[in-house]
Amino acid sequence: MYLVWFLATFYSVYFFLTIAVYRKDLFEKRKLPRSFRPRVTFLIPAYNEAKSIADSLKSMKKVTYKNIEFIVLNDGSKDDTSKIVRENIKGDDRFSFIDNKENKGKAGVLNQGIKICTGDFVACMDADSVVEPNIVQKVIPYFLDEKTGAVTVSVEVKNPKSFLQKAMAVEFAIGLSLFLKIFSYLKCVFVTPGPFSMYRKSMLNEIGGYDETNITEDHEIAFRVNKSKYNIENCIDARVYTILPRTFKQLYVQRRRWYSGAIQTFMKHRKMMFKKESGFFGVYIPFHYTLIILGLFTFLASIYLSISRFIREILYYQYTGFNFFDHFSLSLDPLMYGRVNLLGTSLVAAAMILMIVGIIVTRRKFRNYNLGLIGFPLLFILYQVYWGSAIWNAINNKKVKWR
Amino acid sequence: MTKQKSVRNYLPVIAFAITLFLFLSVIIIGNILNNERQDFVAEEMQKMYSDFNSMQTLSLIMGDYDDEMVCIAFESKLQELDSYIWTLAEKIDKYRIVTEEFQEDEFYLKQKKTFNENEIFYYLMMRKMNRQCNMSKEPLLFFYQNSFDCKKCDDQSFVLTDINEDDDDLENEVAIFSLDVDLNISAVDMMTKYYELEEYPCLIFSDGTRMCGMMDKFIIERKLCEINPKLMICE
Repeated sequence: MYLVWFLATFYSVYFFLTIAVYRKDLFEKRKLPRSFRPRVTFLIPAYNEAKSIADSLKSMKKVTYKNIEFIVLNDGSKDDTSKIVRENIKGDDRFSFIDNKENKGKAGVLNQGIKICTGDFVACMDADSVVEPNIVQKVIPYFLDEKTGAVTVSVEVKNPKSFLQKAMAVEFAIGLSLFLKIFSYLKCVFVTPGPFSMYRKSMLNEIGGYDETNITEDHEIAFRVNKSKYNIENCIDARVYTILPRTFKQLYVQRRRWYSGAIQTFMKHRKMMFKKESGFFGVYIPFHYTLIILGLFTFLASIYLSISRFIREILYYQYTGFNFFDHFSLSLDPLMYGRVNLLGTSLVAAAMILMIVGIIVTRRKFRNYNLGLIGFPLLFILYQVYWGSAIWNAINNKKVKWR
Repeated sequence: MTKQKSVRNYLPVIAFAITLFLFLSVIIIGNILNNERQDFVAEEMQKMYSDFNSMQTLSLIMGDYDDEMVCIAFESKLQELDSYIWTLAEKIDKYRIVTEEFQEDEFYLKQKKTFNENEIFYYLMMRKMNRQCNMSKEPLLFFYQNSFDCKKCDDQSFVLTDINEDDDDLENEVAIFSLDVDLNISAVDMMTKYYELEEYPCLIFSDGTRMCGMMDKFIIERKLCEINPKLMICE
C-alpha cells in the first residue's frame, strides 16, 4: 500500500510540476516559414468503414495545405467502403484509392502506402476520424527540427453521446492530449495515436515502417522511434476527432487489444529498458507498467476485501434477523480515520485535481463534459478488469486479434 | 531544448522531495490522530475509574448509612455506566484496528487489560448490588479470543452489540461484559477455569448457564427472558 501510494504520488507530482514548468509553452504556435512547404501524404487505411468514412473524407477535402496527397487504402472491406470512397473522392485529384480485395491488416496496408507515397512526411489516420482544415500547417513546423521523427496531436472525441463516451472524452482530453504533450517534453511518448499522427518518411524507411505482427501498431512504432535517433513531439493545438466505443462490450474489445498489444510490445522491446541509450524512456516505461501492476494488485485486494466484508456483514445480519435499520445512524468519528484512509483519500484527491488541472490547462470547458467528470474516475475500475484480462491472456499465451 | 534538458534533470528530484514531504505529512497526521485516539481512550478510562471509585465508596458505606439512599445512588451510577461501557470496549477495539499495529500496540493492549480487569470489578459489584438492593440488572459475560483463533468471536460480538443497542433503546437492563481470554488477566483466567471454558465464544448467564459456540440474537434473548421475564426486551 505504501509503495503503491508513493509511486502513484510521485507520478502525479512529477506531472503537476512538468505542467507548471511548461504551462506557457503548451499552446506555443510554431511558425511555418514560406520556404518550408514539403509534400505531405495522408494514408487512410479502411476496413468496413462504410458508416464513417464519408465524414472523414469530407474533412480531408477541407484541408487547406496545398502540397498534399491522400491515399485511401481499402483493407478488403466486406461492406460498401469501396463504393463510398469512390463516390466521395471523384473529381479531386489529390486523392488516390488502393482497393485491396484481401485483408492485410492495418499495419500491412499502411506499409503498402508508405512504399508508394510521394510525401516527405506521412500522416497516418483512421478512416473514422475527422481532421481540422489547418492541421498540417500546425503540425508540419515541428519537423523543422531534424530530430523530430513523429508528431502527435490532441485526440478528441467526436460527438460523445453516451455516459461512457463522455467519461472517455475526459480520459482522452487528459491522456491523449495533455499527457502526450508532457510526455513529449520528457522524451517518453510511448504511443503515436492511430486517429492521426504524422511521421518523417525517411525515418519510417529507416525503422522499417509498421510491425505487421503487432496488434497495436501505433504503440509499437513509438518504441522504435524512441530507439532511433528521433524524437516524438506533440502539437496540442491541432485536433483530430475520433469515434469512441458506445457500449461496454465495444470498449472491452478495444481495451483488450490495446492492453494485450501493450504487453506484446513491452515484451518485444524489453531490452530497451534501463539502457542508457534509451534515455528517460527506458526508465519511464518500466515505472509506468510497475504502477499498473501494483494498481491491479491493490484493486484485486480491495475487491477481495470488499466481497468478504459484504459476505461477513450478511452473515452478521443473519444472526440478528436482518435488523438493518433499527440502529442505523450516521455517526462520523474523525478518529476512525487511519493512515490507510489518509493515503487512499489523498490518491483520489490527486486524481481529481489532475483531471481538473488537465481540463483547465488544455483550455477546455467543464460544461462540455458534465457527467463525464463523474464517469472518468469510474473508468479506472473498469480498466483494472481489462488489464487483468489482458495479463491473463498473455499468461495463457492467448492471441488477441486486431478486430 | 536547454530548458527541456534541465527540466528532465531536476524535476524528478523535486518530485521525489515533494512526494517524500507528502508521505511524511501523512505519517505525521496519522500519528497525531493516533495520539488523539489514545488521549480519548485514556480520558474515557479515567472517567470509568472515577465512576468505579464512587461505586466502591458507595459499597463501603453501605450498612453504615441509609442503604436505600445508597442503592438509589448506586442504581443511577450503573445506569450511567451501562450506556457507555460496551461502547468504550468497542471503541478500544476499533481504534486498535485503525492504528494498524493491532496486536502489538502496547497502549491498546494495556488499556484493554485494565478495562477487562475493571469490567470484572464492575460485574462483581453489580451482582452484589443486585442482591442487596433488589435490582434487576441482568449481567451477561462474554468470553472471546482473537479473530485468528476464534472465527466466530467477531460474529458473536456483532450480535451482542445489536442486543446492547436494543437494550439501550429500552431500559439498560442487560449489562454485557466482554472479556478477552488472550490477555492473560488472572481474574479472567480464574473465571474461565471456574466455568470450565474450552471453546469460544462463550456466554455465561446470571443463573450460571453456559452457552459456547455461536449463538444468534434470538437464542440469547430467549435465555435472558427465561431467567428474567420482566426485562423490557422480552415484551
